[in-house]
Amino acid sequence: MTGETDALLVARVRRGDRAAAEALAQRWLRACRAVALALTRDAADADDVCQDAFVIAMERIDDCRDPARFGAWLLRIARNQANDRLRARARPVRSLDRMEVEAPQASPQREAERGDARERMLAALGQLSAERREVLLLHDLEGWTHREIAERMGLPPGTVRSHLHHARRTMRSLLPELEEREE
Amino acid sequence: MMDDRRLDLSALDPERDPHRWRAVVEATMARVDGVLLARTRPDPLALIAGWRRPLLAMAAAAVLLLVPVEVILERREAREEALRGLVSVSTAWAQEGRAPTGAELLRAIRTGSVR
Repeated sequence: MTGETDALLVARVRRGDRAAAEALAQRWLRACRAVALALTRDAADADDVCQDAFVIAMERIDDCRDPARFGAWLLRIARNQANDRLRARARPVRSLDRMEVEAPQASPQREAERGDARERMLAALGQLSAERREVLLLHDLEGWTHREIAERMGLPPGTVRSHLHHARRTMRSLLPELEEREE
Repeated sequence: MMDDRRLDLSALDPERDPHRWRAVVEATMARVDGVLLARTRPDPLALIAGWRRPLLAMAAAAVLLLVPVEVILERREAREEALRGLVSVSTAWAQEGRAPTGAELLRAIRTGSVR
């Protein structure tokens, strides 16, 4: 991966440089997917959303007012795309499926009997607010620091810590089999 | 007391299925290629806008050049026409074998002196 700053890469993309676009994808696509996953709680949807969001960002690269904050801008696009997708798929049958996953009585243990580890985890994530899900995934899955999350999500660092604490506690209570590792 | 123990969320890691994730990245870049190609290809409207200024300048130069030429040609044509008129009037007088009246002479001279 290139060590160039986002601002430089954005400037190169504006001149039509593919290598710069690829460097930005390498740097941000995973986080983009994590944000999409936090909102959609569906791996296939998250893959589609992160792809759409990145392409839209490239199309509208001239609208990125602060290229140094390209990542935060891209994640905003991903959130909007994910919300659009949630609205689009809000059909009665689908929403019943979703309710089953989200309802408190549909415990992660019951999900475990039916699905694999990913499905159990996604079901447990459904018990968290979207913001807590996002903080948890960016920190524990993507390895971002509290400061990076705070900057890129526009949240106070204290809120990030608090979200992370509550999210972990809820996840552990729902999925006791979750492996833990010290930071 | 904050919970500092990181959760193992690797089940959600997109690179757990590297083929699938590579396909996502490749599909994304394939779409980005189209976007970048469109950026490097000039927009037809921008192209027309770019041409407008030189076209207008060329049209203005042509007008500046053609108007005096047209004026000169028109004057020359008018003078030749007046001369032809004077010749035809004089020929008519000669054929008729009569002297022109003062009024006819004045009209013929006036027409012939058009500049």
